[in-house]
Formats: sequence, structure tokens, C-alpha cells
Amino acid sequence: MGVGPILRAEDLTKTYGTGPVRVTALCETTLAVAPREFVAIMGPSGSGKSTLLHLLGGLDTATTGRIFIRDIEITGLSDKELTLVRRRDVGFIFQSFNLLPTLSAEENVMIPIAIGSRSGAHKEKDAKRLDHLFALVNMEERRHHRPDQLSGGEQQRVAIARALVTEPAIILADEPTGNLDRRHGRDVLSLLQRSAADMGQTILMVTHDPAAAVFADRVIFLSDGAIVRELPLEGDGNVEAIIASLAELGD
Amino acid sequence: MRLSSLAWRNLATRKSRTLMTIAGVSLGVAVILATSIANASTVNAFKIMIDSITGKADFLVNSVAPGGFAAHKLGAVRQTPGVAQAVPGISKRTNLLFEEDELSVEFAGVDPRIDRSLRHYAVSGGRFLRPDDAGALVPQRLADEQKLGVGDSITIAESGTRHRFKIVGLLGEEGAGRFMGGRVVFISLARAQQVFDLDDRLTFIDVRVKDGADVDVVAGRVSERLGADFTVELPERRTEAISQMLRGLQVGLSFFGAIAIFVGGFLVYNTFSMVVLEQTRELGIVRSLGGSRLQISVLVMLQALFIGVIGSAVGLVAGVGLARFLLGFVSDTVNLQIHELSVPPEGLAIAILIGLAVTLIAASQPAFMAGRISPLAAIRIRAKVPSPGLGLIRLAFAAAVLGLGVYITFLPGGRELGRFAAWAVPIHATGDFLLLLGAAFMTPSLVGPLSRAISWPLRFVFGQPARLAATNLDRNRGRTAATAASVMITLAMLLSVSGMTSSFRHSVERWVDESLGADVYVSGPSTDTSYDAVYAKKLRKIKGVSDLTSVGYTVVNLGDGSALWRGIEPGSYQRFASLQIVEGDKEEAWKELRRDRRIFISTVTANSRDIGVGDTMAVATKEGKQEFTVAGVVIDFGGDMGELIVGSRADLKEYFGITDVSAFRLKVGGGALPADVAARIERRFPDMNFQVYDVQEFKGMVDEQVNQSFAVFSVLILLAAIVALISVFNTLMMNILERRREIGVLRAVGATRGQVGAISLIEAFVTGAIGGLFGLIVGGYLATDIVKNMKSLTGYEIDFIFPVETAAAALAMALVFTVAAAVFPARRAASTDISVALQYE
Ligand SMILES: Nc1ncnc2c1ncn2[C@@H]1O[C@H](COP(=O)(O)OP(=O)(O)O)[C@@H](O)[C@H]1O
Ligand SMILES: [Mg+2]
Repeated sequence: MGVGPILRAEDLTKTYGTGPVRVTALCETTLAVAPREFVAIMGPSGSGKSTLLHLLGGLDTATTGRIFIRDIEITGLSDKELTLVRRRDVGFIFQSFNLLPTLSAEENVMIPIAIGSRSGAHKEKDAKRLDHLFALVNMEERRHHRPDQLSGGEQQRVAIARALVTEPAIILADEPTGNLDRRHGRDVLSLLQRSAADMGQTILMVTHDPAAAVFADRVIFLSDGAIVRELPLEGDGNVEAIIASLAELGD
Repeated sequence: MRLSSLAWRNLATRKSRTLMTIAGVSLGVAVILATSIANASTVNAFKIMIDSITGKADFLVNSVAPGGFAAHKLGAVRQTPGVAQAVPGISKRTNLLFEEDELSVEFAGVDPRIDRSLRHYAVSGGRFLRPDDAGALVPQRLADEQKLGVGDSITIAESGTRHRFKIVGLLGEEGAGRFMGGRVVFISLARAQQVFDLDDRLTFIDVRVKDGADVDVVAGRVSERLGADFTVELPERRTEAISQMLRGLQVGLSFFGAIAIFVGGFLVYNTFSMVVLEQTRELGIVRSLGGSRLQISVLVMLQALFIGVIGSAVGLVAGVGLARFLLGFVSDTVNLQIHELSVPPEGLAIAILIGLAVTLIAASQPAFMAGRISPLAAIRIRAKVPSPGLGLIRLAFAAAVLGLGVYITFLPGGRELGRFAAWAVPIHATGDFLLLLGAAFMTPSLVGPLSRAISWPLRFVFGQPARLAATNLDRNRGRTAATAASVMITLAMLLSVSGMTSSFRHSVERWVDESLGADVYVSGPSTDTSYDAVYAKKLRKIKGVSDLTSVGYTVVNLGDGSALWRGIEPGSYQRFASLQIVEGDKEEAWKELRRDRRIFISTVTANSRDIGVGDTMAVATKEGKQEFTVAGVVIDFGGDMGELIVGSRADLKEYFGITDVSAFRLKVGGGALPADVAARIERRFPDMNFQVYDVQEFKGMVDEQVNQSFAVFSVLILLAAIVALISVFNTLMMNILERRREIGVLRAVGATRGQVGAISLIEAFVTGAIGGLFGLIVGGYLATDIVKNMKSLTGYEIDFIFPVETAAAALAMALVFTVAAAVFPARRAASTDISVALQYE
């Protein structure tokens, strides 16, 4: 079988609250993602997509079940160890960009590095990396702008650069195009696809948009906290297949 | 549903916040009320004290010389036309001796047959005195304190003999029982004359004039009849002198009261900014449903009104309690036990008004901003409270106020203000207040550069968190500034009081070293106790004593007031100390002093009369008014409210007939320790009423007296500090509430809990440092102004000493406390649930 999965979840369950207000957001979900794979996650609102992503990225802890990154179990790690995992292995991209408003684009991109080293950063190496990243996301001109001086698409490109800066193996994106119009959304997605291919990264992306999902290698459908269908994408006619699946699952 | 019920619900859902703000307002109101109660009660206590002993008397006759005057003078007074009644008395300060300690009290000898026609004795147990009574009347409170009752005895020592008095009656809390704040014992005139060795002499006569007679005219006649050896004192004069004496204290209290409410105002501003921030979404929803800007502002102001009303009400109750607490300190400061609270109605009104006004004004800006929240806030991802765009106007206003404040501090103080001398203290207090106000409004402009500068070195230790902390502080400039300003004001207050104290203490200690210079001090319980000169010889024989100089005291009449006359022996005195002679050639001055009618005067006396070396001064002596020539001006902290004449004992004898000694100053030799010599003296003369202090004790006592004079202010500073800390806490909580998402993002991209928490702690540290450093500068400047004023007001020569240690300690404390106040917010930030924070939209 060559290489094993880079990311693996076994019987993952997440419940919120207790007693009458108890909500099961995720129910015994099992999942494996191969290195360099690009997986789209779809499903109705409230079906547990964000919850799954947060658990996989170590932002939240599962109620039961196990998660492995490169065969190393991250469930049960202390908060400090989880933080290191996030810092080293995972890059996040959010629907609402989530740039820090007081910092410039460049400083935002540098946060994961700056936060990881006490002395700030290794100047020369970082400068090169920044040049490369800003060229990659096509934002060379606007490196020193603050988030409120950037359009939504530009902010999201900065956020992508931030997710890539530590060269993590896994990128987790929660509706990265949700706040963008179609054209900018498409830009962002092809950028994601290109850079991932470039650096050999694995991508998990939550989306509502079939036109976005077609960028992936495979689509996973969630409903009521469980994976109800998987759809490998190959060749043409994928958008239609996705729409058909969504309709079938009663969304 | 009415809007007001929404306001109410908002307050109810954030109970702890609401309670904290109410606490802030009530603290401010309480301080204002407490200071006004303390002021009124102090004045009242002095009035009661004077009334209680004056009774129905219109004026009081005293002799110039201590040791009293012959009883036949009573006849002369009685025969003066217009006099309805003249009542004799004896008043002596002495110590009640208990097993463990002593208590300084006033012993009053009165004529039991007639005294009650003048003074009111509320006998609450036992009986009143009888003619030739050997017993004593003691205030009930004093008796209770010492666990004594009718039939028990009290003891004093005079001239080597112990005297016991059986308590025959107790006095209630009115009339004579309240004289000297209840630190008084009444005995019969006959017994007093015997105990104090006065033969048939008296020390005072109280006079009541006939109905319809002019008091001034009658007083003039009595004065003329008795001659220059006697003084005639009208009660108003004493009341006046006392309110003069209390003015500094009163202005000080009001000043600090005003500052407390000012700091409270920052807290209210802070909290309402927070309230608006927290309610941005709700307010946005109300707006999107058709609420007008005005309605939104009203919604916020209603909450402010509620907090103002409840806070003021609680503040009134707390104020009375606080006043009681403050009066404990004031009692020490003014040396009079104050038991009774007088609550001035205007004080109540002012406290409520200020409480409400400050709350409403402080809330008005956040309320206005709330009105400008966009209806979109309800649906926007990142709701934003509009920030005020008043930068330049505020800065100009701040600069103007600060400038005015500084200008006022440059005005001359005290008597140099001429016609406005009486206003010097209020004027300078206003200047100081404006200075603080201006500085406070300056802070927003300093937050940016200072937070960057202070956090810069922290970057090398904490890395990114320090950088983020600085940008966070700068982003919420107004809020950071309000908090830093609270810290600044607290520190400035602390520094000005400690600057004042340390300057005063330093000068007094220098005075002890350079002007007194003894190893052991021996004196009586008050300046009017004196000893036969033969004790000088007896004391010299004590083992370890190598040198001795005797000092005699009397209070002299200068026509326009009184002064303490300190009669010294120039020859032996110079072996002890050289005095701090500030005017005139030192050697020349000392030479002059040995001549007839040559004196040194204190700087206070020199300033108040505008005289110097070579000028003459008229002093009432036993031979009538005599001119004395000023040979030197000295810095001196003894004296009667600073009024002091240093003359020779020879003159004391010649012009006042005094040969007795009031104080002995000793030097020790042969390797003896001052403390041992002091102990030996106490053992050798147990019943002489000697107060013996070695130099260490003496300095300690002087220090304590200085500290006591300023202790009352520390309470107020403490309160301001508490309010400032609540502000720090609020601000940091706000910073965290507002940035939940950002904290979530930081955690998501790899920040540890510690790093996120560190941001809050660094924010607190930097805020504390901004406030602290600014406070040191402002406080240091204020302290110089206050000392300058104290100098020109009192005439005392005081060198300004910057209290370096206190300043360092205060800065350290400001940092420690602000960081401590950030611990809870930091933990909140650190424990942020990342996935919830990210979804929080
Ligand atoms: N912090 C939380 N507390 C309680 N319930 C939550 C929390 N977060 C998510 N949920 C619930 O879990 C379910 C899944 O949520 P989520 O993963 O956000 O769904 P999706 O991203 O697919 O819209 C929903 O029913 C949601 O209400
Ligand atoms: Mg979601």
C-alpha cells in the first residue's frame, strides 16, 4: 500500500452540553485522508462540518474517538502539545478571514512564525519565504496594507499565505469562499490547489458550493454528524454529480 | 415592552459588572460625603470644646507668666463695671498614671460653689464636687475606657509626690464633660491649688458681662485694670484661630475628595464603554427594528441613571461609615478626640449631586457613541463600536487645562498673594487639580508612543505577545488612557503626600540635629510644666551625663497674637547645637543673644510680621511692653503654631520672673548609651512627671507626629487605588471580550495559552507603567508645589525632598497591582474555547 494516511479519525464523537440541551454534533465518524489529497466536506448547515474540522485540527477535543496525524495520536495530548501540533502541522483558513486588524498583511502572515520563536524571526530566511508567499498569492503590492484596506478576496489570500507560512502538511479550510463572490472564490481555490500541489500539502475544505467542491479529489457528505456518502471526483461532470448527491441527501 | 425594561434587563444580566460600577460610584460619593462630614465634625468638635469650657462666659482672663496669678485679682475683675460674674479656675496639663501607661489629660480646678452657674455639668453618675472636695469628676467615656467607676481612684504625680483622687462623679457627653474631647478631670479649686503647689493662686478667670453691656468694652476695661501681665481672650478669637489652623486640613480633604470622585468618573466611563461594547449587538438589533439614535442613547443613559441613583444612595450610607473611620485619623492629626459626627445637609446634597452628575457625564460619551451604532451591527460579522474622533479638540482642551494648572502653581503662595493670602491654599489646590485633570486628558495622546516604547524591550523576552499587547493598547486608546489616568492620579496623589511628608520629616529631623542636638531630652507633659532649677544639678549627677543645658518656656503676648518664648543659656546651649540661623552672621548673632533684650525669632514669626535682623519687636512683659531686638532668624519647628522667640534665660527671669526650668537637654559621655541614661533618670525620679526620651525615641516621636499629620490622606489614596484597580480590571476584561475571535485565531495558528494570557498581562503591565511613569512626573511636580505652599502658608522652612524610595516602591506597586488585576482576565483569555471563539460572530 505505499504510504499510509496522513490524517486519520476513528469513531470520532463530539457532544455539546448535558441533559436535555445535549447536542451530538458528530457521531462515530471514521475518516482517512491520504497525503496530498484534497478533500471537500459538504452537508447541510448544522451537520457537524466545522466540528469535524476543528477536531481534526486540534482546536477542540473529541468526546470519544481517536485522531492520528502521520500515525501519531493527537487525541489525549495536552493543550500545550496540541498547540505545537497546530503550529507545526496544521494551517487554518476561515470563512471570515480572521486577520488581526492591527497588523499589516505581512505581519499577519508572520504571526505563526513569530509566535513560535522567542527572538522574533530569522530575518533573512523569513524575508525570502515572505517574498515567495506574497508572490504565490499575488499580493506583492499590498504587503504593508492593513486588513481594512484590503478587499475580501485579498484578505483571504493573505489568510492563505498565513496558513502556508509554516509549510504545514495539512490545510484545514472552513468555507474559505463563503464570503467571496464567485470570481474571487475561484481565484482563491485555484491558488489553494496550486500551492498545495507546489508544497505537497493535504487539504480539507468545508464548502456549500458545488462549484468549489469540484476543485477537490473527493467529496465527503455529512448529515446529522455522520458521513453518509463519499464521492470520488474524476474527469468531467462532477458538478452535476455533486448537485445530484446533495439533492438525494435531502438538502 | 418598554425600552426602560430593556435597560433594566441589561443591568440585571450583568450583575457583577453592575455591582462593580455601583461600588465605584458609591466609593466616590462616600469619599466626598466623608470628607465633608469629617470637616464639619472637626470644626464642631473644636466649637464644642470651646463652648464646653467657656460655658456662658464672654471672655477669659489669663496671666502672661506661667504659674498663675494671685487670687485677689479676682476681686479686681469683679469690681470692673459691666462684669456680671467672674469665676476663677486652674488649668494644668498632667498625666494620669496607670499601671502600664500614662494618659495626658487636662486637670481643671473649679470652685464648686459657683462654677455651675457658668458651665453645664451633666452628672451621669455619683455626685458633683463639694467645696474643698478631695475627689474628682471624670467624663463617663474616659472612665469607661479605663474601666473605672465611682469610688475608684486615679493618680497623678507632681513635683515628686503622688496624688490620688477618688472618683466622686461621672460626666455625660454634654457641657463640661466634653472639654478637650473628654480628656479632662475636674477637681475642686482648693485641691488643685494644693496639688499643683499654687498656694492661693489661679491660672484663669472666666468673665460674664451684664445683660446689655458691650463685651469688647468690658473686656477692654478689665484688660486696662489688670495691666500688661494679663491677656483677655474672646472665644471668637479662639474659634477663628482654630478654623485658621484647620484650613489646610480641610482643603486637603476636599482636594482628595474631589480627586476620588474624579477617579470614580473614569471608572464609570470605562464601565459604560464596556456596557455599550457588550450590548452592541442588542443595540444594533433595536436600531434595525426602528429604534432611533436618541432612544439608544436614552437606553444607555437610563442604565447610568439607575447606577448613579443606587450608587449615590449606597455612597451616602458608606460615607457616614467612612467618615467615622477618617475621623479616627483626623483626631490624631488635630490632637483632639472627635466622637461626634455632624452631617452637614449641604454636604449630603453636594455628594448626591456630584455622584449623579459624574455618573451621567461619564456615561454620556459612551451613550452618544451607542446612538451611532449602525443597525448593521446586528448582522455584521465584526460589530464595531464607533470611536470618538475628538483627538485634536481633546488635546487642545487638555493642553489648555494643563497650562492653566501649571500657571497657577507658578503663582506665589501664602502671604505673598497679599490681599488674597487667605485664598492661597484653595487657589493652589485648584491649580493642582487642574494640572491633574489636564494631565489625565493628555493620556490618550501618550498611549500610542508610550505603549510602543515600554513594550519594545518586552519583545525580546516575550516576543509576539508583547507586540500584540502594544497594538491592542493603542487600538483602544481611550480605554487604555482612562485606565492609565486612574493609575496616574493615584500615584500622583501618593507621591504628593509622601513628598510632603518626607520633606517635612527631613526638615524636622534636621532641626532636631542642628537646633536641639541633645542625647537625652527631659521635660514635663506640656510646655507650662516647670521644675525648680535645682533639678539641673541633680540630673547632672546621674551616671553617664556629661553635659546639660536648661531651657525655660513661657507663652508671651505680642499684642497681635502669642508666641512661645524659649529661654536658653547661650553658653551651654552652644555646646549642644548651633541653631539653623538663616539670617544674620552666626557668630555675631550668638554674641548678640547674650546681651540684654536680644532675641532670635523663627522664620514663621519673621514672615508673619515681615521683620528681620535689626528690627525690634514689642513683647508684653511683667514690666509692661518692652522692645526686643531681633539678632537672628532661625528655622524652628517648635513654638506655638510656629511662632517662636529664642531668648536668654536671663531675660526670662528679668522680664517674666521665671526661674523655673521647663526642659533639660543632656549629653552623655564616657561611653554611656542615651537609652540607659534615660532609663536611669526615670528610675531615679519616678514621680516628677518627667517625660524622658533618648535621641532615638525623640526622633521617632517627631517622625510619628509628622506621619500622623498626614495619615488621614493615606486612607483616601487607598480608596482611589481601589477604584483605579477596578478600572484596570474592567479595561482588560473589555479588551478580551472584544477580541474573542482574535484570541481564537491566535490559538488556532499556534499561540499557547500562556502566550494569549501573557498578552493581557503585558497590556496591564504597560498600562500600569504608562500611568505609573506619568504619575511619578505629575506627582513629583505636585509635591513641589504642595511643599512650596506649605512653606509659604506656615512660614516653616522646608527643603523639598523627592521621596525616591516611596516613588520606586509606588511604581513597583502600581505595576504589581495592575498585573495582579489582570490575572483573572488573562486566565479568561487563556481558557478561551477556540472553536467557540471562532464561531462567535
Ligand atoms: N459550542 C457549541 N455548543 C453547543 N452546540 C454546538 C456548539 N458548536 C456547535 N454546536 C452544534 O453542533 C452542531 C454542528 O455544528 P457545526 O459543526 O458548526 O455545523 P456546520 O459547520 O456543519 O454548520 C450544530 O447543531 C450546532 O448547533
Ligand atoms: Mg460551519
